[in-house]
Amino acid sequence: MKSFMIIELKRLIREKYLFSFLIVFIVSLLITSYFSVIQTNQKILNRELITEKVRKEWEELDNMNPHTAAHFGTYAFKPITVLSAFDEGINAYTGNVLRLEGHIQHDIVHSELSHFPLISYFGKTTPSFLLQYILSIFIIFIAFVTINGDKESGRLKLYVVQGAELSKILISNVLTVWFISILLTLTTFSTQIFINIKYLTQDDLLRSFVLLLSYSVYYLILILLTIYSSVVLKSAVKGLTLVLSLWFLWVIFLPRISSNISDSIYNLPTRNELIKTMKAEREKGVDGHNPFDKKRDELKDSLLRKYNVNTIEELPINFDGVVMQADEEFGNMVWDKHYGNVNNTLISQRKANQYFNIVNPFSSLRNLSIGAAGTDLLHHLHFLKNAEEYRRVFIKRLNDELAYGGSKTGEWDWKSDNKFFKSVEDLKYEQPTFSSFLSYYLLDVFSLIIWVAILLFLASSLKNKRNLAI
Amino acid sequence: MTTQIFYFEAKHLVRNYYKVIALILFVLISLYSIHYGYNLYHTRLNEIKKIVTESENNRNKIIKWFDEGIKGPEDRPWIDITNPFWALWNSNVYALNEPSALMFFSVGQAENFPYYKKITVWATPYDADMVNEITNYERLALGSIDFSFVIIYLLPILLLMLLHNIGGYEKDNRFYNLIKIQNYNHKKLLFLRSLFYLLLINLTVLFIVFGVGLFIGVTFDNLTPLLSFLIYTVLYSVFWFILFFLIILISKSSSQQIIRMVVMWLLLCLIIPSTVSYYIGNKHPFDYMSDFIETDRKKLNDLYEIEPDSIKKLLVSIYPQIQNFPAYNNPQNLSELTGFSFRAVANELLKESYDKIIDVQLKRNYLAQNSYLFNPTAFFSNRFYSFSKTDFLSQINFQKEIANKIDKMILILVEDLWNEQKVNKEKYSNYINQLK
Repeated sequence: MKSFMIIELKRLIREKYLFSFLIVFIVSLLITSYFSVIQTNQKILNRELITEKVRKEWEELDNMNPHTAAHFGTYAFKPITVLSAFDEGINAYTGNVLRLEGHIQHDIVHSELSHFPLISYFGKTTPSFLLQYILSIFIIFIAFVTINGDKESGRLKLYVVQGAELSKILISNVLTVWFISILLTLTTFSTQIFINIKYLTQDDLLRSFVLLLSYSVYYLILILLTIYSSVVLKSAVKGLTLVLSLWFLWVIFLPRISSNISDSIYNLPTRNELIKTMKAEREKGVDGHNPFDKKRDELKDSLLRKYNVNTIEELPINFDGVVMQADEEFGNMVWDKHYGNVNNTLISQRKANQYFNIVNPFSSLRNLSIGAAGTDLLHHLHFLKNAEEYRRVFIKRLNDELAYGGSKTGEWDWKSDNKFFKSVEDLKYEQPTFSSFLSYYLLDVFSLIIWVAILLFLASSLKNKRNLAI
Repeated sequence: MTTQIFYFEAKHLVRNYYKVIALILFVLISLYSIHYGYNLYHTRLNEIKKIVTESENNRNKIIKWFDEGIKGPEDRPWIDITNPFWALWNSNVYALNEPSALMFFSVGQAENFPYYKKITVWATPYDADMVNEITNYERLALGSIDFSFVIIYLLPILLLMLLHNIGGYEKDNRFYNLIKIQNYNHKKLLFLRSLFYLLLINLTVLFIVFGVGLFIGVTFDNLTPLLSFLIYTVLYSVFWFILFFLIILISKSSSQQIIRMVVMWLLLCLIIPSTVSYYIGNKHPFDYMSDFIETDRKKLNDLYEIEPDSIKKLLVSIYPQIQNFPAYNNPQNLSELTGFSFRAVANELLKESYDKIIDVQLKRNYLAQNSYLFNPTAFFSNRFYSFSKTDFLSQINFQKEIANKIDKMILILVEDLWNEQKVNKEKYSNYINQLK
């Protein structure tokens, strides 16, 4: 088998236009990987700068009422993972800026794409773009050239006549092309790792390994499919046409159609509908800014009883701060209910999509790619959840300062000092580890394994067939 | 001779099951894509209708208050709708980006943008509610299959499937030279055989557009965008036809033809557009709206600290006409007046920062337009989006419309406040008419 592989490799290198395409591709991969890392690092730096600026503005606050500070608020900026240089995933489509303030949970806004004209349906040139679209086509062509060359020249027939096992010859062809594809994929990862070595954590290395493995398995599927169909079908061109048609089906049609179907199975509410429902429900709770709100009375009575006083002016604490926090907690409850439903629907859509993906290894690869790069929906929702949790702690700290920091009810001129504002911690977001999210990707892994198993079975069954188109 | 060639090519097509399947698949996907656009169009239209009805109901409630002499809701006694500020606050005016009927065929960037915005004196075109519909971002990142996607990406693939063995089959079986000897012009033969498929594709597209259009009841107030859409579709198909025909002429086998055609598709549909996209992102990177954030938070907070007299001075520098109004020289309650018109000063500050954003957005669009010469798919796709008003420029125009409405509302507020105007039912209706 080893000698077959060496012969095939030498033959491929002799194919002038294939070899030159290989060189051009390696150079493109190196350039793209390098510039993607540089661009991503620049984005990470920009994010750090704006985060520092916003924090500095907060730490410079001096003598301000805590509730005014709750409206001054802060911002959370969507984190950029080191591996987003490899696969941008949904990052260009999601918002990047999340305003965190009292009473309201804002949406994350300012997606890159809302500030850029749409030039490419398939995103920017990133290593994942090259590996998913360009290299996969290239792999199909190499596999086709390998097997077609053997078929057309009559070599394949000669090997079989001389006693070589057909399945062994085909597997050596598969391994030769697979070796080239792994080499190209490794080129990308080694460039990324080499440039980013000091920023990579252990988790990033695990994620890179998952990426490398996923792409390798996907290429194995493409190679097995091309070689199998070229051998089984009488005309090699028909085999190539079949594989290319499948590729277009997997890459262009099925992902879009399946995600639209899962969208229609699990419906999301419109924004207007959601806001209206939430507003109506929120009105049932205490309104922190309305001193005439009758729903405050119950809260007031309980506090008067607790502190054993007759009027809110006699309270040793600031009743306004307590009301603000009650308003906040009721709002949180409403938000959890409605946005919880939205998030559950999104997760259901994703899961439905994964089931559709069993017939489409490209989508499984894509899911694993954006998942391992930390740029998928799950990572996005994880960040939003953490930012919201932080907002609650942040606002509670300010409301507690208003309520228990020394002011009395109605003292809206009362101000906290700079020391207090500095003591309010900033959001410290940590990306989840890949192993903690692994269960979400098992279906995709399963889909790729099933494809490889079926194709390997088909390829190994070839030895028993006498009537092959060779 | 042409009729004869077309007749034989039709027979050849019918015998090639995979070509027929490719054609049927193209028609089915086209129908699906139009259905997608149709759904999105109607969802948006319905949502806009709901918003318009809700805002009309709310306005009717305010008009009823005027009739009954009520100044505001019972549990919010500080609201007085006879004050221009509160009247405008309750004007329930929206900026609406109504979908064009051509959205059936081209969804473009529409799903990335908001299409309605409530106008208040506190609004900006970059508020947190200026966000797209609740959606699954993984679906959005894949892009939607609309008819323009079918034309831009799938039409060349269909053409490739139909043309890949024209001439190639004869070369593979080594009887092309025989044809060359027998036929006075073999290139013309190849051309006419290929032309058959070009005509077939264009007739299919015409049938889909008009047939489906009539079936689902598309009504166009103006036929020009639809005709332009069709003309550009024909031009686009001719463009690919020329490229593929040249490949047919220079290739030596059908596998070489397929490989060259696919490489051409990859180059024009994937590599060039994504490289241009990458370049624009590098040239004018996304900067987290740092200027706008600073203004909206820090600078406005600093403005709150300014004394009413200084706000008045700032206000006069923006609206010098208020110097002639009664409240300017003899204000009854200066802090209330400046408090109500505070946002006019803030709006000027915010405008400075979001004008810069629009400027950068236009620069990005300009760069994209400059690439059209070597990036034909982006040229055609953006033409399609512009016909259905779902392109980037249409969104910028919508943002500008929002900004204009905010400016108009603020101008009314400042003039009527400093002119000590009291709002009644007529004046309120007048506000609505001016801002609609």
